[in-house]
Amino acid sequence: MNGSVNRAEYEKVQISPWQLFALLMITRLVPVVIGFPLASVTTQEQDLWISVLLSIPVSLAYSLLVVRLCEAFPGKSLIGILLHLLGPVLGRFAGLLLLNSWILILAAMLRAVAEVNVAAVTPETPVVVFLALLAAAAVYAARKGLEPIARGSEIVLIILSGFFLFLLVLPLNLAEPSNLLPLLEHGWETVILGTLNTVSFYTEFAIAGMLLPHLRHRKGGRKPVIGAVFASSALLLVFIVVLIMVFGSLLSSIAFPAFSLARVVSVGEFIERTESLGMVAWVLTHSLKCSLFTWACAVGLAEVFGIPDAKPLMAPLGFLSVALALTFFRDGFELYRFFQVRTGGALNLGLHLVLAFAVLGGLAWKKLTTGK
Amino acid sequence: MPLSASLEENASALREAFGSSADLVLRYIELATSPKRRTAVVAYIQGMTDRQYMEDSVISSLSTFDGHTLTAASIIEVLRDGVLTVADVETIDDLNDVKRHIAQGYCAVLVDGCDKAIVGDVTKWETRSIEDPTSESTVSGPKEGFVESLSTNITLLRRYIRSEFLRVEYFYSGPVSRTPIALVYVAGIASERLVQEGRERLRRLDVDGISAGLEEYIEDAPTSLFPTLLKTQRPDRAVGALLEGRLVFLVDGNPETLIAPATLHMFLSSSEDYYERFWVGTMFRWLRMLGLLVSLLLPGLYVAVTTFHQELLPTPLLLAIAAQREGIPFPAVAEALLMEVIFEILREAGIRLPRIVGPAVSIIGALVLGEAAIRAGLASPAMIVVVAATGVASFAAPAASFQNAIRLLRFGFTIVAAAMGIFGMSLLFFVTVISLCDTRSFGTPFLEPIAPTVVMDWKDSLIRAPSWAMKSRPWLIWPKEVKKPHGRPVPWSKGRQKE
Repeated sequence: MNGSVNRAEYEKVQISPWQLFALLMITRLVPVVIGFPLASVTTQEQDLWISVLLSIPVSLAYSLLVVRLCEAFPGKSLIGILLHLLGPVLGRFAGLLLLNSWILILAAMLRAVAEVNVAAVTPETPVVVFLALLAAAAVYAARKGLEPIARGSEIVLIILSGFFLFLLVLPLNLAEPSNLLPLLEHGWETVILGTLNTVSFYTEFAIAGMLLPHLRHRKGGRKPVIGAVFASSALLLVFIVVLIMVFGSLLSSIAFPAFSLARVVSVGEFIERTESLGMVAWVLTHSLKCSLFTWACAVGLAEVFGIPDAKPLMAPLGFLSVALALTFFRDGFELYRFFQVRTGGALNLGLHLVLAFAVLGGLAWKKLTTGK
Repeated sequence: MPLSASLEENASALREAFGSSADLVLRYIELATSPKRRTAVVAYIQGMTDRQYMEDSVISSLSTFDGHTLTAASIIEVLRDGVLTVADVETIDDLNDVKRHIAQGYCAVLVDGCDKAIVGDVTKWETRSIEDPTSESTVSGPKEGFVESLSTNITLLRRYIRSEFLRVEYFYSGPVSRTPIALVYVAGIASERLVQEGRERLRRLDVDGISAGLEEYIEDAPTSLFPTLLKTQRPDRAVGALLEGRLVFLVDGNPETLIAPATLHMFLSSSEDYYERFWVGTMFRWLRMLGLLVSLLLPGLYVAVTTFHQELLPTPLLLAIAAQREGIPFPAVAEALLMEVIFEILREAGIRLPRIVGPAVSIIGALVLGEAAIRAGLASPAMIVVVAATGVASFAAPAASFQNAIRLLRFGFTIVAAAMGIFGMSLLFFVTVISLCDTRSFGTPFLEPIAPTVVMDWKDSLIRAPSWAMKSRPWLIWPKEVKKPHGRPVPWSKGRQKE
């Protein structure tokens, strides 16, 4: 941020490139801070870090497609672009499919935090209590609008960075580098599955399509999006390496690897069992991501159905996400299994692949018919 | 309502307007005019005027005035320009204006046959002398604070900024009290839009009287728990804000000025920071931030850890706390709330008690009650330590209004900690952060420069950089000139050493 932006320009737009970066970082890292979905993709965990590396170009290409689309249609959100390119019927259908996937992600996030709390802290409290409270906080923030959520992300990102530093440095005394070997012992299957799985999670960057129209500089979206892909990938890479070194072959059987990593931390026999402290980062990041997705879903739904104000949709969305979180997943393990590439992850990848082709087709058709 | 040419009608109207109030003085004086002698009335409120000044500059001048050649039309102008020796005079022709001036301590001169009046500023009333402000004491720096007199307070500001750029605009609130409010800013630094916003908010004031509580009417978030305008009794603090491009509001009768826009870090800064080495100033700020977190979260954290997250404590400490809590009939949350409430009552009583006995009673009360609570098995020693540490930490924030918001929020954190442990505290923290992110002070985001991040403003918020390194004014208050003259250190040079 610098002094070259004048006041009128600042007030008209809502978020800065740094805030976009923070929002995307949190969006990507949230599934990592409690569980580590990549960890349960296979039993050949020592090759998973290669998957993270291989996923970078694909994730980057997908994210840049979203950015390029938003640059080509300034002021339009991703849902608006779908409506514009695919027409009112097909566009609405595609938009609803995308929103549906986001609502499922929202429900999964709610369930993840609630599940950990019930499993590890307050087993007597019904899971619905946690779900309802988290959803209420998300709806409260979503009703405040994108600006407070984006500003909140700057603070949450600082806390998240501290959490990662803590989680990556302190358990190093338990790390066993030999766990990383042998490489590619069972061929490329693990690596490919891991890559697809990671890319599946990176499709959440489509949310950038709802944020970019609110960016201060129309052409300023590339740097934060590219930065978020690289920074989050780097963190994932380091994180998976630490997890493999600490847990070795046990990794694939742990339901919440990050949670377990916090549990094994011990500093001078004084700071121990820090999973409760990690809860601060988990709750903050999940609440923020839930707020962002609630806001994006409400705005998207309003756009699809031509409702002028998205605010009245937010509370019903909160209820819907709680209901889905209660009924769709039986437990935490199932939650992460659902998003694996062998199950729901494949659907997710397929959806985004189809959407990408549909958008490109729509673009080509528009160019053909209008010459622009 | 226009003035009448009849003196008696005007005098009666004044008497009627003031309800024949005992302190309204109407002094009749015969003027030496021809062809007939005219009568003049000097109207003023007893006790609000400088009696000696009145006698010398108004009464005596009128009594010795020789106006044989003057006509009714010109007499007012002559009296105003050549007879009355009051520094600040003006002619008005509206009775309501006359009443308003008299109520403010001016004297009004009305002459028979003239439908105009002269009002002169002869105000003077008893005021408190300038003292060290009680609420924002510093070890170093000036020892003077604002008082209840508006003119004295403006003089204090002018002593610091001796230039024509310091602008003062008066507004009068309420049809009954007509309390003067001054909007002060530095032209050329404060943005015109901010000044206009300040003017608009003061113009929209529609209240009976406003000696206190102006902020409730002009702030952006009137229902927020946190104050969004900074109150200060220190002129140096107000001047610092003015030179950054902020507005200062002064209300007659109130020693506390309001600074707008105010952001979170300002509530954690003190004038002291600038009177110490910048390293020390930075350390002070970090200590206050730590104090803020301790004050807000410590009781809740204690309750959460002892109730839900015992694994966080090392075993010896856990055993020690468990041993202390053995025999305590309440759960940790009841114990915490009980001790917190007692501490708050002691603190409140300490403020209200007579100054001579207040500190003694609160100190003895705290010691005796704490000791007695432990002996009676109502509280554990660990809880007393937590409550005491929280209480001390809460005083670290220099702004009392901010301390009070934290005090209230602390109870919320303690209760959610008892219900849901760290999960509940984190969720409440998130809601608080979002609420603060949504808050603005005169359009400036309350959490600036952290959220939104403005790196160039960190040097006078997260840290206290050296004065010569502060090359710009806070960006998000949109000063006319972001860059400011900052100077640079002038060390002893070798060249000069040779000379």
